[in-house]
This record gives sequence, structure tokens and C-alpha cells, in this order.
Amino acid sequence: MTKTCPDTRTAYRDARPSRPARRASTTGGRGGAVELALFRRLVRDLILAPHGGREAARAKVVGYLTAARDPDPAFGELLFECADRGGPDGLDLATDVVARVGPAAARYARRLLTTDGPKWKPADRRRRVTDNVWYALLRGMGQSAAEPVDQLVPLLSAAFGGTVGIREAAAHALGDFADRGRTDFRLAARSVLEQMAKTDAAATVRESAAEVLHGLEG
Amino acid sequence: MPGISLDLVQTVAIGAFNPHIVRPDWMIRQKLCKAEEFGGVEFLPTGDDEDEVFRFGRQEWQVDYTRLSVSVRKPGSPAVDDTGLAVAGVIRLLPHTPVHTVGHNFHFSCTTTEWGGKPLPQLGPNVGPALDGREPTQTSWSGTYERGDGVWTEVTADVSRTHDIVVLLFNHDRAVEPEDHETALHAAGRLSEDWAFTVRLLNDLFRIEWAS
Repeated sequence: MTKTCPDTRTAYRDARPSRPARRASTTGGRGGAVELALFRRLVRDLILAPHGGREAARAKVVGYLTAARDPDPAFGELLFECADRGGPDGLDLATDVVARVGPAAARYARRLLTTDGPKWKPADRRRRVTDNVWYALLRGMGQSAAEPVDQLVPLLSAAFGGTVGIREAAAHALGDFADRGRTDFRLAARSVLEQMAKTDAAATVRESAAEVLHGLEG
Repeated sequence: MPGISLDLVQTVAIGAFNPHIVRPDWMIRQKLCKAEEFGGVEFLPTGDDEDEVFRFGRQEWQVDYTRLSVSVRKPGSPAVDDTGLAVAGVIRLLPHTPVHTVGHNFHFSCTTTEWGGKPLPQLGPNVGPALDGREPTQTSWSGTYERGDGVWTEVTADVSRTHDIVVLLFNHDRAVEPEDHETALHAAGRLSEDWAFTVRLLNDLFRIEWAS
């Protein structure tokens, strides 16, 4: 007798294994749920690693993301775990990882922007986890070797359309971005920061942008 | 040295759910969750624009047009974090929503060092060396057990030599006739029974004694 049920092994549609919805009993094999469980463990090991062991743990996470055919579900796991349960160093850990896998992170940021961006409400004060996810993603991307053109759409969207927390994160990420790379992009980033410092509706965002500009000039 | 850890408890119901209905404010209105918990609700970013993902306390809710799932990461114990009861609460309120299957998942992991000499299922002696004797970087074994009364349990053991990690996934699911609302409710309420079966399989298959 064979099992003929839809797949309840994972909540994630993206992560479902490529098997027919009505399947035979024992041939499920490895699928998205296994990969996510494995990656979740790598991230937990990174969060819990002592300082001396962090480099090795980080290398495993970076290696996984770099080698994955579709790293997007894993990016989601990394950012969520670090933002939500990563403790005081969680955001720095996620930022470091994102910075090292730049191009794939920029692709993930653009894709997340299409789904999460429409839910942004500029006056929202704090959405703790989501703001933190975007903080690590934008800052990591700003420090990465991803193509500047690929970074600009998420950075500018966050700077002008994000929640208060996301706009603050964008200001810092634009600072990272303006600190390196081609002159024309650096000038563009500075110009955006100047505009944020003058015109953003939230005082905290204006202050962050002014602080970042001051740092760039120093 | 810490041993194997329970990383996730999750209940997934496959059915025609509506992410525009199953939302925190609706759940509070229906007294499925207490209003005072509303301050603790947070919508989470999702990579799919048809998904709605939010969290009530420790429970992560994910709803789209094909499934509803409730997960708890690093649960205290399945008795405390009964995700099945949460899903049952929604199914009870939506008697005309067809549900096809309800599954309970338990995910465990440990390092290969922590796994030690515990047994892992093999494919058998007929599988010979490949590629000049190279070991696979990742090996997975999956077995499905029929428990009767339409209940199936799938166990997956995956060993990643690249990452030195072993993960064990237990999925218990029950097929439901779409119009059979009572069976869907019953299935969602069987998490503790499936947990007991998981603990038994941990011991039978892997010689792991789970201290509850």
C-alpha cells in the first residue's frame, strides 16, 4: 500500500522538495525541510559559538549560502534566527555573513523587497524582528562586494519607503556603501544621505543620516 | 556535552485557507488568542507575496492559500508548545474550509561528534563504492511507517559530512476527507500521541533515550 497524501513536512512552499504532491511511500528522499533543518543548526552553532570558534562557524554558514542552488530560504532563516534569537551579537553575526556572500545577498534583498516592501508603512515605529532583518541585510550588503547597481534598488527603496527602523538601517548602510567603491556611486549615496538628513519625517532618521554624513566627512 | 536537541515542533494543515482571514486581529476577535497577547504579535518578512507570517508569543504562524502551519522553534516540550491545538482552534472556527491532510513535525539535530556511535540506518550491503571509493558528502535515509487508521510516519535521517551535522525529521500525517471536519479536528489534536511515537522511534531506530 502506498501513501497518497500531500506533503506536510514543511511550512515553506519554496522549500518543498520537488516531488509530486501525491507521492509513493518511501521515496521522499532529501528535500527542502532537511536542508532548512541542517542550515538552522549551522546558524544556531554560529550564534552559540565562543569568540574563538566564530570564524569556523561563520565559514560553514557562508560556505552553505555560497554553494546553495537556491539560497533564499536559507537567507530567510539566517536573518530571522539572528534577528530574533541571536542575542546581543546576532545582528553583527548576520551582517558579517551577508557581507561575505554579497551578490547572492543583493539578489535576496531585491526579492524580499518585492514581497515585504509593499507591507512597509513609513510611519511604523518598530517592527522588532523585521526591522532587524532589514538592518542586517542592508548593512551586510552595503559592506559587501556585490555590484553597486544591484545594491542601489534595495538601499534607495529602504531609504525612502521603509519604516522608521528600516530607514535608519538604510542610512547606516548607505554610509557603508559610500565609504567604498566608484566615485559616482559614492556621490549618489552621499546625496541621498543629505536628503534624508534634511527631509525625513522622523527625527531619529534625520539624526542617523546626519551622523553617518559626519562620519564620512571625518 | 549537549546531546541531540529538539529544534522545531510544527503542525501543518493542507487546505484551502485564506491568509486574508486567518490573521491576528481575527484570531483575537474569535477568542482564539487573548487580546492582551496582541501587543506581542509581529508580522515577519516573507519571501512569498501570497504568504502571511506572524508570531504570537512563541508560535510562528504561516498562512497561504494552500496551507496553515504553526511552528515553535526550540520548544520547551511538545506538551507545552502544542502547535496542534493552535491549528485545531482555527479548523474549529472554519468548518467549511476543506482540509486534506494534517501533519505534525518534530525536527532534531546534533553534531556528528554528539551523535557518536549511535546507529544510522543503511541502504544495505548492495551499495558498492563509487567514484574510486569517495564518501558522499551528504547521506540521507528516509523510511515511512504505516501506523493504521490513515496515519503515516516518515522518518528522515540526514548526515552532512561537510558540516558535521546530523538532522532527524519526523513527520506524522493523517489524510482527511475534505468535507470531514471532525476528522481534521481530531488529526490536529493528536500532537502528543505523535510525540510519543517519535520518542519511541528515537529509541528503536537510533538508541536515543529522550528524557521528557
